[in-house]
Amino acid sequence: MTTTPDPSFFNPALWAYIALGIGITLQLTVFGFLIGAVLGLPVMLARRAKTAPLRWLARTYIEVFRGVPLIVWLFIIYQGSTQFDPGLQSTFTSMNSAILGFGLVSAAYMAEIYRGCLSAVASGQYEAGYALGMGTRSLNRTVIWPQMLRIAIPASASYAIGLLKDTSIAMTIGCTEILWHAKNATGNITTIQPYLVAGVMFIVLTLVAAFGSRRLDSTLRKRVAR
Amino acid sequence: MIGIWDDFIDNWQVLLKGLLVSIEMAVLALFFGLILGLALAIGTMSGRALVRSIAIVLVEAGRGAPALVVLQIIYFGLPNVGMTFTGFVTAVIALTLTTGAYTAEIMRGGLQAVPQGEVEAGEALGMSRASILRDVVVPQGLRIAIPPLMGFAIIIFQATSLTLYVGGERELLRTANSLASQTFNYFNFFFIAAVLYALITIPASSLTERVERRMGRHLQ
Repeated sequence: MTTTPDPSFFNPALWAYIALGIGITLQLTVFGFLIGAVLGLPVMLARRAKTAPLRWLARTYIEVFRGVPLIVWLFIIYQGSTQFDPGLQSTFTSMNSAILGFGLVSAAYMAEIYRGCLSAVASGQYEAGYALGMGTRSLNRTVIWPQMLRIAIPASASYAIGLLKDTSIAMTIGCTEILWHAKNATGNITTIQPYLVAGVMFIVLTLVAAFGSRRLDSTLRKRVAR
Repeated sequence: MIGIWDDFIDNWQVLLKGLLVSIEMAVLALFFGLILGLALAIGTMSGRALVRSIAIVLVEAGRGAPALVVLQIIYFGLPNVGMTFTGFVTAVIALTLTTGAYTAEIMRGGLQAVPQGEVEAGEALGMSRASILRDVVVPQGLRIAIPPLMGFAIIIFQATSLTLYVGGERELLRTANSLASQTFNYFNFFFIAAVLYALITIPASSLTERVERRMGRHLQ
């Protein structure tokens, strides 16, 4: 590691140094969330399936992934894999393990968000579709799911913002995100100043994300209705 | 299998002790955090602009910064101002602050759900502002907030695992981590930790769901 800047809150070099982690923080958030948003759909469908075992399986997935702390998942994936074969370390790198862990956990949360939004689509929509002679499949694809995804935007956005903060946990397995840089900048001295800088950066990122999601929601409200 | 059961049997006492420490941390953080949260919630609705803005800033900062950042700030910050505590106390203080900020928002939601007409009725009866708050708004508002607060309690219990990186206290994940690095059975011990966490959180979340449904019964 090259020399780190003087860990003083008012030192611009410290801000620049910690800001180096923003890219990794965003990558972890975006990829973790995308995996969750995609994987959440089949999990939600399984959760509502007619076949009971499929329903139980989905329910178990959701409960287990939400019930165990995120940091434990990261440890299981990142360090746990080495128990079987130390060579797995090259597959389960810090970044891969973190993104996989965030993705799997997000899928459980997103499945529940989708499920809530699906029940928020008015049942009259189904009746209207059937009355028009549409099949269940095309009804779902063209009428119900698009509305569900639209309704899911605010809740998904606040989940993604929560995830943005949770990605700081990835520093514990060595992802070089914002908090990792802050910790590195403290060196051997006990000082909180780099952590205050990291805190400010997280707060700014979450405020920007919250503002963006509100804008998106109000734009869609005007253009697409609801 | 790969010895998960053997690893558990050989170390079940320390592991369960770790689980107890985690539970203890969560209970203490919730106890103090809920008091702080209620104070902040009332603060954010205060008529005085200064009180209101201080409360809002505290709540927003506490919710905007990740729990891990708050933990590090408290862990390194308290010794800087001459206060040194054990890892356990430090962890409880940090988790209390996080709990306070989050539960303040939850409780504010509950308090605001109490119809304004009830406040006006209290005023019409000549009740003092403090009495309206204490006898009318808070009891009803907190009742509404119970299910989300239970949900949050589960989250803060899970968050105790983050103290691994700051505290000296042997909560569950720290215990599992040190056993894992002694034996190199990383998967086994983290798996055991996961099961122990789930044994608490899964029943707790189904209880929360039941309470939620029960309290919403009159709406159906």
